[in-house]
Amino acid sequence: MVGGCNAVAEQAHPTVAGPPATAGEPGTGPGPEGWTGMRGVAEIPSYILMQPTTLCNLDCAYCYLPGRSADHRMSERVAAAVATTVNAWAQRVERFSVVWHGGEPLAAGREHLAALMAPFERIEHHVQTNATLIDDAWCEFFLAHQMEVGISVDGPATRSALRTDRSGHPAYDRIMRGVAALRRHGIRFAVICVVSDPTPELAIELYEYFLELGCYWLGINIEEREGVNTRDNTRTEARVREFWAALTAAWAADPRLELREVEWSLHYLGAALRGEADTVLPRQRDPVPTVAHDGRVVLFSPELAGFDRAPGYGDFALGNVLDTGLDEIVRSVAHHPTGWVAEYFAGVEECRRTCPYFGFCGGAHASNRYFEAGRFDVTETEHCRNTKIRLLEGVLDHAGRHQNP
Amino acid sequence: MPDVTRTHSEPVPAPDDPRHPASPEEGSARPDPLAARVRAATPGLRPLVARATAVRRARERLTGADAAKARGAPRWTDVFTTQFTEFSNRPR
Repeated sequence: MVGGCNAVAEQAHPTVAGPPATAGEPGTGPGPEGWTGMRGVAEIPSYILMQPTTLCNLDCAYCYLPGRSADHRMSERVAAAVATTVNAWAQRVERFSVVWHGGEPLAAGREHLAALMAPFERIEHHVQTNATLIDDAWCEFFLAHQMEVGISVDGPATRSALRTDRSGHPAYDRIMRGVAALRRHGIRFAVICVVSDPTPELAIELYEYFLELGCYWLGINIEEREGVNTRDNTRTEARVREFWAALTAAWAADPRLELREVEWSLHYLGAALRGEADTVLPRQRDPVPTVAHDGRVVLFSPELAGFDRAPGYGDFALGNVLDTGLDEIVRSVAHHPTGWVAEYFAGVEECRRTCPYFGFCGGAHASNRYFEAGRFDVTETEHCRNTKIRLLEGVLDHAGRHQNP
Repeated sequence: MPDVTRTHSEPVPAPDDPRHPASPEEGSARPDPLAARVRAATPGLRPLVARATAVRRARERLTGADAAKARGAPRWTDVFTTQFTEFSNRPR
């Protein structure tokens, strides 16, 4: 899905640190200088995540969020401090997005969310919600604020047993009421679907289900062991590859859904066929700032937010917008990485040096490194295997079996 | 940097042709195991990639995203796709 706009993005999002990004030699793999993407850190992110409340009204078995049973709300002062930087960034780039994430962002309530959104100018608002609280009033709110809506649903009721409330009751019917409200108001929505037990049969069932549901975009997350979710995420290679291969087949038969993983893979493989594999990644790493309810900021992996006493690392926060401008926090980390960030960058460079899939993924995510291995300078994670390597191999498996998809 | 969204009209050499992009480069210090996989899957991969490209272009025309790209709007979904996946959406 990376477009030719990468070159433009380089201009719009200047690099402030790291080796210079140079075009690699054409080829399926890296050029003589290694993979050239994701070097340095973009001075201006493409988007930020905001946590309007820590509270979630659901208690899904695989959730990574700590403290989601408490309602700690972001103050308007925090939002205003973030907006000071973001509004300036938004004047320098064509597009900038603010994502209201969670907790469950709608649990903050319309009045409070509107107050938090008020200081932002010339940006696009997005919300990622479990959909259970969506009603006509929320739909009117989305329309009034031109919000893009993403919901989380894991497939039909029989496949959604892990999405429950605090009493253990399935949330599925409430999610469907929210979906019905969105459809009633003509609001398009994207879906994140978590898959805990990938099988080819499930892939086919899910694709058909989401076509019927009416979403326009689908992202599949194989369950990860991260945050407070310590469930084992080790899975059989063959099953995961067959899952992705079957999903590719389902998409190829009826490509009405924008299917993140499969289309991203085909985009990369298309570039590889043209000898341009090393051009696919963004040239710089996006810092992906996440601002927690209390103003603390983590970069690169939002899943690290909310952990105060991580063994060996303490608080992952890299600053607080109530003390320091968000732009200064990003700049400081990019120029002078220390602590876990320096360790993470070392791990990324080791991925770049050793992993043939680096041009596809840009290096294992910080949170997966930490929550799987307890440190940031390791390389291949179980998440890499399930969601990057086996994905690409599954798409190739499908292509290898089908001369005419 | 090449525009990787552009469909190249030049034919790609056959998978067993040494000029094929996925062929090991002469003197290459590092083996590229992925290259062999791509090479082996090329006959099935090529039409699949073409289909994905056509679908994406039709979608971009429908949503106006092609106009946004022409204006130079960065596609921030490129980033979350590779770094953070707990969030769904796409560019207008």
